[in-house]
Amino acid sequence: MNKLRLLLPSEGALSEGALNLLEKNNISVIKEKSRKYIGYIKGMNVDVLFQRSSDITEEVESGNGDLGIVGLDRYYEYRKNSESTGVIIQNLGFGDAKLVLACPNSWLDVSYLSDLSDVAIQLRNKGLDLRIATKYPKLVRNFLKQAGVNYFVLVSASGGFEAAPILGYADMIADITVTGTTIRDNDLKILKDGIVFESQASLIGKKTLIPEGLIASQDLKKIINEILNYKF
Amino acid sequence: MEKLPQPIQILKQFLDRDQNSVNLVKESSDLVQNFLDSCGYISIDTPIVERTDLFIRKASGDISSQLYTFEDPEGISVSLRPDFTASVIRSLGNSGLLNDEDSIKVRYSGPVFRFFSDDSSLRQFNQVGAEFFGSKSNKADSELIELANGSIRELGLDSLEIRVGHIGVLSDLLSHFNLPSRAKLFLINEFSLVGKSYGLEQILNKAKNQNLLNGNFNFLDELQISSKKTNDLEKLNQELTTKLENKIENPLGSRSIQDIRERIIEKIISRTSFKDFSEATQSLLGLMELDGSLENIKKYFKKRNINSSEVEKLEEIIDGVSEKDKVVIDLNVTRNLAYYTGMVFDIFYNNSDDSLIIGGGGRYDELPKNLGYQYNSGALGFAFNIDLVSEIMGKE
Repeated sequence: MNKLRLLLPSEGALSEGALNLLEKNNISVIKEKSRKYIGYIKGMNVDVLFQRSSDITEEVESGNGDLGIVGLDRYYEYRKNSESTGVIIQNLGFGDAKLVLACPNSWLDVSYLSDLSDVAIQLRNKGLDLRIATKYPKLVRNFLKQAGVNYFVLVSASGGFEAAPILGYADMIADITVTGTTIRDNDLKILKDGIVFESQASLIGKKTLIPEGLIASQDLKKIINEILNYKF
Repeated sequence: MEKLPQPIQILKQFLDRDQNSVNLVKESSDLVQNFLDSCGYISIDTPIVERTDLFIRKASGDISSQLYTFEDPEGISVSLRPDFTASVIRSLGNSGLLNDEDSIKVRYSGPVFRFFSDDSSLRQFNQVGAEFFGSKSNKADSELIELANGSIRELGLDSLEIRVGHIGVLSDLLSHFNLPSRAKLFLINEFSLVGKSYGLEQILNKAKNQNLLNGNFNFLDELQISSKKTNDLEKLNQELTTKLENKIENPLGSRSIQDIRERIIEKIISRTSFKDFSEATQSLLGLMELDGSLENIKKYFKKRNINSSEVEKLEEIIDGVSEKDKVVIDLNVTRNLAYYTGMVFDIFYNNSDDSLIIGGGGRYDELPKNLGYQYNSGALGFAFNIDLVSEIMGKE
């Protein structure tokens, strides 16, 4: 019999949060000793695969997993096809984070997106680009376009790139923050209307697995059982 | 059974057409094009894909969020055209045909692409339209309206109506309030919503949300700048120069201290007072509540002691249209696009259960300059959404 494959983040706060949540729902994940990244749920027909947070969306999309717990920001950023997967539980109650736009403190004239739109035009007229470092090009691009900021270049970044403006390879950053401390430490400020996306941990799944009329409750055990009864 | 891959589905809000539908679109397109041809409009065709900049320079934020934009294999940012106008100007401009000596009239037809987020509009549709370069006279405006009127006649559609507005009339009214251009632009763009679903309060809220009324000026206190008024710019400039140099540290990014100073001054100049904004909005609301007859519009201006040359222009334009049976004045029509400068019109289809806009156009004299061409002799144009036109033809 086929087993349902649940993908969980393998490290970081999201991993811890996911395991805590499952425990609270009386779902015990048993890790196989010899194989660090594979486990199963006791008493349910479910395999558990531990994956990097950044890979979970793609793995569910490509069919290597059925359900996944993932930050909503990463889900919307990495999703290639809105038709094959969907969000089953929007807010699992942990993993809160904000994707924000921050510019140098020294830009005294900039507080709002409307200011940014002017600065982008000002730079453009000088033959320069407004360079924004981010790991979330898709979300940031859509957000800026909706806000009427038309001229910008997204610089792809990884790791701690809050220092990008100091190092000179970007003018601004768009990054995930929980407390804002790192941003302030790097002489940056968050725009007053610069919240690109408010994220938390979510349960996502393949659309074909989600029973019609499934009511999104917070009862994870009930939901997994309903999905199991529907397709497995 | 042999296991096959999943068949691919058509994209949302796109359409496959059968022979009937193809013929109907072609028929309506031909009718309009032949008519434009008989009026001296020569055909032109431009690429479906252009550099993204072309469309962004032309439009405000609204259309850029609807663009289909992607990187081509060489890494250039390109977009599918959302309409023809910018491409036509680029084509004529680059080939030297757009000059202040000659007038030129062209027509076009083909698909355009807009990523509408709602589920009721097609994201690819066909446009047929015309562009007229080389006249700033009101006669040209009348000619464009007649051209739209004549096309409707050729199509045999009785239920259509041309609703004519005028951006200049609205600007004339607004010029009597102390508003920066950004606030004026906002009001004109929002004006089509004023009074219909929107009232004064909603407009003011929206202006606040877009930070039109409450830009952040705290930094002036932090810098201890004393001259915050626009009446002594020189003093302000000097004060800013010394204080900014002391205050500003790295990082600055691509901007210089001078950039920041210039922008601060601009920001202070374009500060909008709530009182002026609110009065201007009310006065626009009043204008909108009129029934649209020229007499009432004139009275409205006279009562406020405003001499509007633009109202006279609108009168001349309407007088110049020979068959006015389908033409109605409606100052609510603004087409929501920042590049229109004068007369604008929407082509409405009305029947008992439906009212929709199936085309429109107007005057956009500044557009060639915005796209980088030394050209100062007037630009106008209009287009039909020929898919909607053919749908109506199919019903009637």
